[in-house]
Amino acid sequence: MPGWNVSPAAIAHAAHQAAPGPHRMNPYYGFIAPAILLIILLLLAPLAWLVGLSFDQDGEFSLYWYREITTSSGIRSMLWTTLRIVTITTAISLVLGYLVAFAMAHMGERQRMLLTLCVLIPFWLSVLVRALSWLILLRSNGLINSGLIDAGIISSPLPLVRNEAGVIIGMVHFLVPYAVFPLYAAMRAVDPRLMMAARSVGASTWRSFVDVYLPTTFPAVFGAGMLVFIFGLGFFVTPSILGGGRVVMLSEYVSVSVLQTLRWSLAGALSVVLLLATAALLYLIGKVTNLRKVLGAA
Amino acid sequence: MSKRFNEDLVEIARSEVTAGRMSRRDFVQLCLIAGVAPVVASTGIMSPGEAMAQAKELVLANFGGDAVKGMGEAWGEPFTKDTGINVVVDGATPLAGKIKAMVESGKVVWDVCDADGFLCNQLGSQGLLEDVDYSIVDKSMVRDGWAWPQGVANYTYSFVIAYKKSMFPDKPPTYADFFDVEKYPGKRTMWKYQMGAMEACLLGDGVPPDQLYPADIDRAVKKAKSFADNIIYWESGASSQQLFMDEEVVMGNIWNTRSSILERDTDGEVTWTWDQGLFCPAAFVIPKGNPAGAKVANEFLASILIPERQIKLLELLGNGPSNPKASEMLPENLRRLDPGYPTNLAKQIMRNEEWYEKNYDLAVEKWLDGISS
Repeated sequence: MPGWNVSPAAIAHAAHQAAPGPHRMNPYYGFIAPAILLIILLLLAPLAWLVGLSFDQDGEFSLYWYREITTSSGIRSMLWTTLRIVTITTAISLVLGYLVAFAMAHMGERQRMLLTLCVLIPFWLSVLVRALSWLILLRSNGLINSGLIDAGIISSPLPLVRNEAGVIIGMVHFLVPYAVFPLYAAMRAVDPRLMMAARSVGASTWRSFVDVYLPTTFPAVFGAGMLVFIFGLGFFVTPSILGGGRVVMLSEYVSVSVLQTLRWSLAGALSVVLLLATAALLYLIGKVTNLRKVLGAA
Repeated sequence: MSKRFNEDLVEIARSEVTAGRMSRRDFVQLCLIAGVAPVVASTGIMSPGEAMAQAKELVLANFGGDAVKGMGEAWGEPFTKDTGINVVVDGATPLAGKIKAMVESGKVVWDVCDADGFLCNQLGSQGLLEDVDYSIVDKSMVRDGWAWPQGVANYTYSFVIAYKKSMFPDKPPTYADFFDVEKYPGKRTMWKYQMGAMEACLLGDGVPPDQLYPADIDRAVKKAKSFADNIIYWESGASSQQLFMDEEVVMGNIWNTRSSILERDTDGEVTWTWDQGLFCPAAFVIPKGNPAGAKVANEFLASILIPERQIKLLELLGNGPSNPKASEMLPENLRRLDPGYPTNLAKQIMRNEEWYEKNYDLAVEKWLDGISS
């Protein structure tokens, strides 16, 4: 039958034909057109509307709301609170996440399963349930404080919740899994022979960890950190419950502006600032590391 | 009576047509005999009643919880009995922003929304609400000043001091006691979103009750901040109740509805005083372009002012009647629960709707900025 005996040269030729030329539009773009259209309609168009709204002051184009963000001491302190809490949360989540991921990557199959479950089960719980559980544990007559008092370690309850500390505890608990999984994936991909090679030329365990293992997994640390940080910026329920009303973060402020005080333009301007900050963050990290790799592309 | 029967007849005939057991010509004839104009739309056949009140359904949006069942029972069911229009209570928290979003996008799903008195003018002046038709709603059934152009008072509530009775065996606390942790140790609770809390701070700071408004927001914030470590802010009515049940707080500025439940649930250990309470009117508003039509919504507003129905709500939820005649009719056991009952009202301060109408946004904003920084 003709066609059965295709020479390697013919295959190469066919492959060359099929490959998109520099000036030819790939016909497969047609397949993603609906998705692109959806993104434009459902994401970009509302976003453009939001940006437009942020420049609106009583129907006229104005930078009023951006000026408000930089001059209003209340908004400034709210943004500062948000930034501070998210930074602390990210740092703690990364350290804890690194430890857990390291353990997961280097233990036996059975223990790994157990540890994975320990990470996953809280991960699957609703954010509301988790916040309320922390409240029950941490409040002044909660399990932890009453346990410590009964044991005679402290005489009056520690302020563990309804303040920034409570918010950070709740947020770290929520965000650790988001740090664990990318780190674990990266650690699994580390060639164990690298460590063996390091040991074989006389490096101590610690030295081979610091000089070989850590740099190899560093892009994943950045990636996980970025994920946690950006996610943390949008937190709403946890700060609202564990902050006891005294920790107001960005998303809650936006929500109040939209739902109660009807300052939609302020909400728009804050969202634009948040979006720009996130984009700038991505750009900076892209400068430092290979962003494509961090985001999971080969 | 006969009109209702005829409508029912047409209703039956309509389903016969839809099922194919009756011809359209016979249907039109029957409508003529019954004295109702047939409406034959391309999509089907609508009786006139239906054409007017489209889905024969009225969606009432409120703030959820027990109020879904309570308003359904006290106000929805009797209205359905009167008119045949089904009332669906949606506990979806109709905050001002949601109403604005709905009306401006033209996708209104609520017919009547639970709101605050001052919001009627605030939202109304932005063109977001239908006018209340005072030829349908009887103005004399609410207190003077509570029949706004775009909204009518539906019930009353109050921010009161709830407290542990054992701390005050002889007399109820005042806001001076509220802010005195030396003498009365323990944490306090106030609403996170300024209302009630601001007034509490001002009273505690020595502002005489008759000079609360125009309110000095900055002074209130300063007072709250100076007292910060002793306050746990409550976010929802349920959490205000929980804080007492968990014995996390000993005093609180909370809603009277919650304080009466607390008294019941703690066998009187937690109780409340009407002294220095902040008396507030709530209101129903109709979002512009509501699906059931303004007429049906207005009929509903008229129906909820009937004293018996107002009393029923007080019985079920602890919300006071907005119709003063209902307060007069109260049986002995309910009088203590009604914030608007004359002897209770005499001890309280009326919230100033005009002030809130102009300053609510600013006040919430300043308050939140203040307590969180």
